[in-house]
Formats: sequence, C-alpha cells, structure tokens
Amino acid sequence: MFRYLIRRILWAIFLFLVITFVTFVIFFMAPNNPARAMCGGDQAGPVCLKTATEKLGLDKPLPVQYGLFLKRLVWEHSLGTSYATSQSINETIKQAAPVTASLVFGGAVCWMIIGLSVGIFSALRPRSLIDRAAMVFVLIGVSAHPVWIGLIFSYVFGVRLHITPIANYANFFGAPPDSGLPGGPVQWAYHMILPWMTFAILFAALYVRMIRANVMETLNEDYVRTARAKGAPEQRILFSHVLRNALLPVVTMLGMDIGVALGGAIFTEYVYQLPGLGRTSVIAIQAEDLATLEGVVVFATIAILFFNLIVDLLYAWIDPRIRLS
Amino acid sequence: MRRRLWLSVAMLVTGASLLVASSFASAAGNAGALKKGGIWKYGTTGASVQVDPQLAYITTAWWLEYATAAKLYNYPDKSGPAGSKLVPEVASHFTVTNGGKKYTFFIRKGFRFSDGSPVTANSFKYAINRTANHDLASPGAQFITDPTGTNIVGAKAVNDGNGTNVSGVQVKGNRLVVNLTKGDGTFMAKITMPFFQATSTKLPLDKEVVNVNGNNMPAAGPYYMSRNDVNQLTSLRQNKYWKPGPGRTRPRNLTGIDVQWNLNEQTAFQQTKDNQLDEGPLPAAEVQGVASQYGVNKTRFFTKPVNCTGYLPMNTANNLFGKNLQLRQAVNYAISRPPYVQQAGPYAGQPWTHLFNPGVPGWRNVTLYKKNLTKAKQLASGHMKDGKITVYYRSSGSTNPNQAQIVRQDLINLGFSSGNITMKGFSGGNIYDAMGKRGNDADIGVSMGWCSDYPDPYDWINILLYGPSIQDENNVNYSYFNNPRWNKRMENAAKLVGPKRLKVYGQMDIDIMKKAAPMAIERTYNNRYFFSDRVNPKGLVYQGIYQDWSIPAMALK
Amino acid sequence: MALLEVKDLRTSFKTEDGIVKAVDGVSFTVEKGQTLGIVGESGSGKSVTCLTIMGLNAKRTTMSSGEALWKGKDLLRAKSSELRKIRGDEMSMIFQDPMTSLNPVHTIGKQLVEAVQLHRDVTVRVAKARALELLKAVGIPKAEGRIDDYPHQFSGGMRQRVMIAMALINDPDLLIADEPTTALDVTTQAQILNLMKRLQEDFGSAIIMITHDLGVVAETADDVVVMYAAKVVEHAKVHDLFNRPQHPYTWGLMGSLPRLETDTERLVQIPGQPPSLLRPPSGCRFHPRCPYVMGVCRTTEPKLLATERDPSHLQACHLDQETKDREANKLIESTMAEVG
Repeated sequence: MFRYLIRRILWAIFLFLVITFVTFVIFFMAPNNPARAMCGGDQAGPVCLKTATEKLGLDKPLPVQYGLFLKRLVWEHSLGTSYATSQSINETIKQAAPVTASLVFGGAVCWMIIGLSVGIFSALRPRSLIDRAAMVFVLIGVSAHPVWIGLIFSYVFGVRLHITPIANYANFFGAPPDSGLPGGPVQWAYHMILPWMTFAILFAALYVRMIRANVMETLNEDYVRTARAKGAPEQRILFSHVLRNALLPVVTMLGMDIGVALGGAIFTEYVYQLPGLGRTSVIAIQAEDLATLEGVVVFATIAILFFNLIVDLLYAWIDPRIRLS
Repeated sequence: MRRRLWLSVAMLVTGASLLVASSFASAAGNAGALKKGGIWKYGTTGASVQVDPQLAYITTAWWLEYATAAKLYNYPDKSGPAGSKLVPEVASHFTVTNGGKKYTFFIRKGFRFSDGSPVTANSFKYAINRTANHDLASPGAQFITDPTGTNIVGAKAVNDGNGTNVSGVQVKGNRLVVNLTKGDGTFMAKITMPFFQATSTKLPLDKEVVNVNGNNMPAAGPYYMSRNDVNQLTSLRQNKYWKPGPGRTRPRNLTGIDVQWNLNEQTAFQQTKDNQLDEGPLPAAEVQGVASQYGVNKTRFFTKPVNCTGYLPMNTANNLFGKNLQLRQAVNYAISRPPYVQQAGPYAGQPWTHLFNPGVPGWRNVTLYKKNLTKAKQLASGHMKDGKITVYYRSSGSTNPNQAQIVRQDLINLGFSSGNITMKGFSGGNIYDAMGKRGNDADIGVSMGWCSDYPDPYDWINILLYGPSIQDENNVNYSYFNNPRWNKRMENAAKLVGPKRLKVYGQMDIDIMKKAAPMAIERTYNNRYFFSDRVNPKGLVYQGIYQDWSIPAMALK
Repeated sequence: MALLEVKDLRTSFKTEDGIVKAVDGVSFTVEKGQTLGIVGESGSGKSVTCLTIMGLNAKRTTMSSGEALWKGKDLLRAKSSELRKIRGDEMSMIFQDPMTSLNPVHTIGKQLVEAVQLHRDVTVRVAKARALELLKAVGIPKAEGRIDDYPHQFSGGMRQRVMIAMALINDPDLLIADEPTTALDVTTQAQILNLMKRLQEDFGSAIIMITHDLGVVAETADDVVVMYAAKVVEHAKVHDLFNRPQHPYTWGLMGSLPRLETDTERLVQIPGQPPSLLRPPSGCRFHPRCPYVMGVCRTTEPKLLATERDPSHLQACHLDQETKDREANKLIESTMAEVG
C-alpha cells in the first residue's frame, strides 16, 4: 500500500509538470499580448505596454518564466498574481473553487441519485415503459449540449414559470452585507437547483446506461444465482449481492468523471453566471491572462489527481480483490 | 457591452485642453425631482476592471471613477456641450504663474473621504506621487512625464525609480502648487483625468488596491467603492460625508450601484428584461425586437452615437497599395458598406465614406464614394500588381468574420481571384498588434477603426495619418501613410485655432480621403443600451467626455 | 411418498429468435437418501430441469408446466415466498463453476452465515459456529483462520468445498449438484466426489447429480436419467444402465468414457452436434447423429417405454430388442466397463 501511494504521488508530480508546462507552451505559441489588457485594450499606448510587459515579466524567455512560476509555487505556495486584474491568484481560486465544488459535488449527488434509481429500476424491469422512457432520456441527455439545456431550463423555470432564479450564485455563507444579493444555505441551494440539474443531465444519462448495464450483468452472475438458491429474498439479493458488485466500476467512473466534470462545469457556469473555476478560466483566456489560467490548471490538476487517489483508495476498500493483491 | 472598441486617451486630453481654454461652465445640479434611493444593478459581459484610482483606466473603470472621484476641476453631469466644460470642484480656483509653468490650486474645505477624513492639498499631491511611482506602474505616468507635453518637475525621476516624492508638487497650507518643466496648455485637461483625484493615504503608495471591502479605498466624490470582488461584484455606495455645498453640486439619486461582471450575454439580457438587472447586455439578435417593443430613446432601449469611425486601412508601405492611388480609390468604390454595417445588427451605426463622423468638430455631411463597380474596375485595371492580396481580419465573434467575408467578396468582384486572396484571422485585439508592427505583410485590414473620447480633428488626421510618427511597433497609422505634402498640411492645420481650424480640418478630411484614399471608410457607430422597467429615463444623462450615462444623475422609478 | 416426484415437466424460454423448449416432458422420482444421476451433453436440458424445480429460472422469459411434487407439494405452483423457504433449507444446490458462484466482495464466513440466518432465527455467533463446523466437515484446513477470507483467496477445489458446505449447512433433504466437478482438475474431482459421498452418508441427503460424465454417475448414482435434446431417452438403475444400455445415445456416452488402461481421454466421440432446440429434428431427436438410424426414426418420435425384461428400465428407441442387446454387449465387451 505504501509503495502504491509513493508511485501514485510520483506519477502525480510528473503529470503536474507536464500539464503546467504544456499550458505555458500553448499560451506562448498563441499570438497575444497580455500587457494590452492592462493598458486599455485595443489601442494601448507604447509606453504603457512597455511598462506593463516589464511588470508582468513577459520580456523574459519562456523557460525562465516557467522556472519562476515553479519556484514561486513551491517556495511561496503562491500561484502569482493575475496579469489582467493584479489579484492574487490564490485568492481568485479561493473564491472560485467553492462555487465549482458546489456545482460539481451537488451535480454528482444529483446524477448519482438519478443514475442509481433509474438505472436500477430499468435493469430490474427491462423493456418496461419506465425502462424505455429512461432510454429516451439517456439519448437526449447524451446528445444535448449543457449550454442549450441550461438556456432552456433558465427560460422555462426562471423566466416563464418563475419557479427558480434565472441565474447567479448565492454564497452558502451569506452574501456581502448591504449588497442586496441573496445568500445563505437556502438561497444557495435554490440558486443551484437548475445548475445542478443542467450539469447532472449528461452524466445522469451516462450513469443510467452504465448502472443499468452493470446491474443487468450482475443479475446474471453465478453468485446471484447462488444467493437465490440459498433462499435469499430479492431485495436482499439486490442490495447485498448485486449492487455492491455492480457499483464497483461506477466508483471508478465517478472518480474519473469528477475530473471530466470540472471541464463540463465551464458551460454550466457560463450559462448560470456562476463565478467558479470554469468561468474564471474562460475570463482568463479572453483576457490573455496566462497567470490565472495556469493557476486554475494547477489547481484543477491537483484536485483531479487528489480525487483519483481518493477513488483508488476507496476502490481498494470496497473491493477486497484489489486490497489484498 | 459598455466596453468601447477603440480609444485614445491621449486625444481625450488634447481635445479637453482646447475646451478648457475656451470656457468654464457654471456649476449646476440636475434639475427636476427624481426619486432618491435604490441600487442600480448593472450586469456586463465584460471582465472586471482595475479599480485603484491610479490604475483604473478608461471604459468601465473610468465610468465608475467619474462617480467616486473628487477632482480639482471636473466635468458636470450633463449631456451635450454643457457636459464638456470644466467647473471647479475641490479647488475653488487656480492661478498660473512663472510663464505658464506654475499652477497654484486653492483647496476648499468641506470635502471629506468616505472614511470621514478631510480632503486636503496633500490628497492631490499623494495622487501625483502614486501616479508617478515606479513600482505601481500607473498608466497615468505617461501623462505627467512627457518631455514634449505635460512634464511635472521631478515626476520622471520618481517614475524611473529615483525616490517616491515628486519634487515639483508642493503643499502650502490650502494651496497645491504644481511646477511644470515648461508651459503646457493641456495641463488642466490632464489633471482632470481620474488618476489625479483626491486620494486617501490609506491606499499604499506602491501597491495596487485590488480587493475592496468596506472603507479600504476611500473616495471623496458622491460615491465610494464599498466592495470589489474581482470578476464578480463591484459596489458603489453613497459617501455619507459628501453633502451638497461649495463645489459639491453634482446630483446624487441612487443609494448605490452594483456591477456584476462576466455575465452570460443571453442570460443577463433575460434578467434585464425580467427587471432583475437594471442595465444589461443587448445581444445583436435582440436589438430589433427590443427597439420595436420599447421604442428608441424613450423608455428602455437607448442608442447613442459614439465618436468612432470604422474603416479598412490599406497598407501603403507594401507593394500592392503603395504608390497605387487608383487601386485604393477602386476599393473605395467597390466595397458594400450597407451590408457591412448590418452585420453588427440594427442601430449599430450607418455607412460612411470619410473619416470625420458627426461627433468630430468640422465634419461635413458628404458622400465621397457611391458603390460603382464599373468605375472601380476601370480604376483598378492595370494596377492590380501581381493580383495577390493579404487581408487581416478579426476572427472573434460573428460580426467580424462576416464583415471579412463581405470585404472578400467585394475584392473578388473588383477582380482579385479568390485563390489570390490570403485571409489572416486575429482574435481579440491582436490585429492591432500585428498591423501596428512596421513591415507587416497585411495589404488591408477589416473591422478596424478609431474612437476618440474628445472631439478634436487633430486626433483623427494627425494621429492616424501623420507619417513622421511611424515607429517600429504599436503604430496606429495602419496605412503607413507617409506623404511629405500631406504631412506639411497636417502640421499647419494643428497650429490653427477656432473656426478656421475646424474648417481646414474638415476640408482636409474630404481631400485626403478623395485624393489620397489611404483607407476605405466603412461606417459610424452607435452604443446600444437596454434598461429595466425600474429605470427612470429622466435620470439618463449621456456624458460626452466618457461617453456613458452619468452615475450620479441616474435614478430609479 | 417420494421425496421429489417430477411429472411431465416442460420448460420453455422466450428468446429473440423464438421459443426454445429446453425441457420437454421429463419425469422422474427421487427417494429419500438416494442419488439420482442426470446425464447428457450440454444443452440437453438437465440443468434447466433442476433450475425449474428450484424455481431459479428467470420468471419473465420462462414458461413451465407439469408437476414437481416436493413431499407432495407442487413446487411449480408454489408461491415464491414458499419456494424461498424450501430453497437452501430443505433443498439446496451447488453449481458447476466454484470460481464465480461465490460473491467476491463478501467473506465466505459472511456468505455461510447468511445461508444459516435466512432460514434459522439464530445469532451470528451461532451461525458462525455452524459455518465453521461445516467448513471443517468439507475439509477446509485451518477453517478458523480462513472463515474471514474472501473467495479469491481460495483455490477452485476449496471454493467448491465451501459451496458444498453452504449447500449442506441447513441439513437439506435434497442436494442438487450441477456438474460439481467439471471445472476442477482430475485429482480434485475425485476428492470432491468422495467428499459428497461421505457427506451423504453423514447427512442422509438425497442427491441429484447432474453431469455429462457417466463416470461420475457410475461412482455416485443409484438411478440414472439420460437426457438428450430436452427429453429423457433412457432411465434405469445404475447397474442396469451400465450392463444393459438400451439407447444408441447412451452407447455413445459410454463409448466416450475414459478407459482405465489407456491414457486417451475419449475413445469414441458421438459424431455431430446436439440439435437446436428452437427447431428440433423430426421423429427421434437423435436420428441425425444415430448410426442405427431407420426410416421410422425420421418420422415417428419413439415413446419412453419400459423394456420387456425390466419395467423399471425405460428407454425411447425404435430399434428392436435384439439389436439393442447385441450392440450393448459389444460395447460392454469392448470397453470392459464393469460397473455394478
């Protein structure tokens, strides 16, 4: 187990270096001039551009900039300051990460609830009306783009029916005083309902399909027949013998998908104007703000590697075959 | 989107100086009783701006600064010409001595920062020290360290990193003394830029204030910034120590304004429609519907001309258009202006054929080129060189690429074979970097243009077409037009004042576009605004200096 | 009263291609403490017969008729709750592949305890003690130390022992063993069969031994049912079957028995493939593979009838008795398969 951990961590460090460096290279390959953003945009004056370029360190060669970035990260635990807004990127991430976490984990809970209930039910009653309806849902879910779903949801439930807010984020711990903005756990959940649903649909669809297939397959396993032969009631068979085995691959998928989901969060955050990591990175790209983009990439990489590690450990815990080998 | 396309701050200053010299308007508040109170919720698709007064720079940043800043002199919250006349604010008056090199401002009592501390002459000295500071890297430094323009004694040294105190600025009791290295008529306009507002010493001398919460960035104007969460929320609230009195004549209706940044265009539009935002983005596809539903400039939909002109610069430094007046004129005759403008949606502007739009003093209402393909082909015939043309265009969004396609088709109609047209796309503002580099391979640029925040023709002709100012990079003379005869005419015109100046420039605009045609003018521009039902249209005052609605004048129903 | 009396059992499955009659009119009886062998190739319906009796076929796609009287009670018409009470308690089953028949995520102890607790209202402690007792009985070495191990920590033979322990843990009246040794190597096969024999003596359970291997039947069974293509083709006491086999298919099976004095596994293979049960052959279902095929075989289905000599020896073949005796004797001489 210890060696396994060490190997995972070394691999994580390697991946981390590759990913951050690639981000750097891509950024410098693209023609852009981040100094422009500090000097008023399209028609920035030459004097201002020169000062800004020096201030941002953009006049240094790429490897030096990358080296400085690593040094600052390792020694000062700092991701630096944004090219565009001068804000500390640690601060930016600290503000954005909880939003994305709300979205991703809340969304994951939603898609797991939908995936498990519909998937299991469909597997137990294949070809039933509900099963067929579920398969139509799967088809729509995997085909529809989250931006489209988001706009439709926002229009129908927000603009038309006034059931939910159209957009925006409400801070879980309360809004800034005197801001007139919503805040607190209730408002937070109320504002997150549509984003969660939008975010969850794609994955819910995939998980319904996967869980349905896994459960159906597991139902045909010999040990399930053994359990029946023992005289176990169906419910007990389902929970004690089928689900635990059927959900093993789901756990692995969940770990990987949390990472994929971070990417998907961009769209949902975009539609619902959630100030999370996805929107932060879109803004950073638009503002040619490499520093912030690197910050998000670094954070996301660490988060994904961390979750994969957690999932690996979790998997080892629930699957004795892995634990002991 | 509040963000303007092109902007030249240097020109704002030059232009302003002319008006400063001409007259000072009497101070007057906003007439009529408007409802007090309420928070104006503004949503924008733009990224948040720097809010530190010495770093905030143009567009939305200055729109906010104009609500929070208390300056020595200021522009009234009025639309039209009345809005561009300087009036005393914190300074009751000033004197100029020492041959135009020494300005002395007399500071009033009664102005206070939002944290209660008084505004003194020192508050302005601190603003100049911060602007000049080397580490802070303020974009305002260039305006007080210009050896050929405004140059405050000692500012250059501080900007170079030698010391932190600008020696040419002295405080004597209630007097602020500013010494210049030489006399400069534009000084008053420059000192009115938001960089030089009364600045609290709570702001660190050499560190930018980024996040604002409470009163860590006090301001002395009618409002102050109570909160700034980067890329999320920026809030202005009333400065409770600002009460009407001498110099404090600006209106103030709203309790405050909340700016939400980086919103999704479609969603934020819906929110504005639904009165959840008071002012929001207006997607191009929605303009027509909104205009017919609410009318134009009546209740919720407003369109205001912007002092901008859109054109295709033709690079006279390269083979194709260099010494090739016939082809440049041919392009002017060949391009399809109405569909080009229509790409930006309804009310976005109108087709135009010369540089001066109706916002530029001295402009004349003429049409120089009517589309005439036969004539264009005649002109082009024998002047197509090798028949190859390189087109730079902007690839972001949908308007720009569509405009590029229209121009491409125009070029094909003119006689360029489609295989010989090389299209190069640039995202964001990169086209300006590329075309601003001397020696670039562009023959013609699409979706480019120029805006001026201050109405003076110098800004247009001399800045865009004066040959000797061409340098290695960051040029704005994208045509690389450098003709000794025209250069001379520009130099002479710049020396003129009064009506003659405008008359000469007006004629030069027409002559140069007809006889030299260094660019093909396409269009003028309008800004389009969409408001909620809560907005009181009577409170909408369009301020020509920063070309946006005055925040202190705004009111809700 | 017989322990289990199966009468005219028929089971068919709905499939994408049509209806498959997997069991077509099977009857037999199992007496207390006796062993019945059911022999046949894969797909002959022998496993389905037992799964039908146990009620373990997928309900949605299966149709069954006939009777399976368990202590006089018809299992085919019993409620699923009643069936569940019988399954694993009075009647239990072990399966062919011990590698997949145990749940990989639970310890064997847990699975054994579950088997007890499903039918007995006892504490985990008591159930675990019983489990340990059974594990010792089936010959798991150091059972105390292994009860909390997972299935993958056991070898195939050991897992089958665990399966047997699980099947016997509630002291059932009938144990159905579906090819219990097929997946195991030869040495282990013998050990498992010996174990089952010993346990049958200790526990007194009746056994239905499903196998394709006549050798296994010869060693364990009292009665033998030979199935071919969903039907019973021969049914006899084990001694009778091996001394006077009456059906060409049985001859084929016997011919494929491993001979003691040679290393070759299979002496004679029955040529051809078992028929599709979607569209079974007309007449005698064995006729396409039968070396003695006659015209009547192609058209008329032979009835399962008692031989003239012995009313308890049933067979379904059109051949005349003389030919049958002659061929049977030839076969027995040549294989020298002396069983009794």
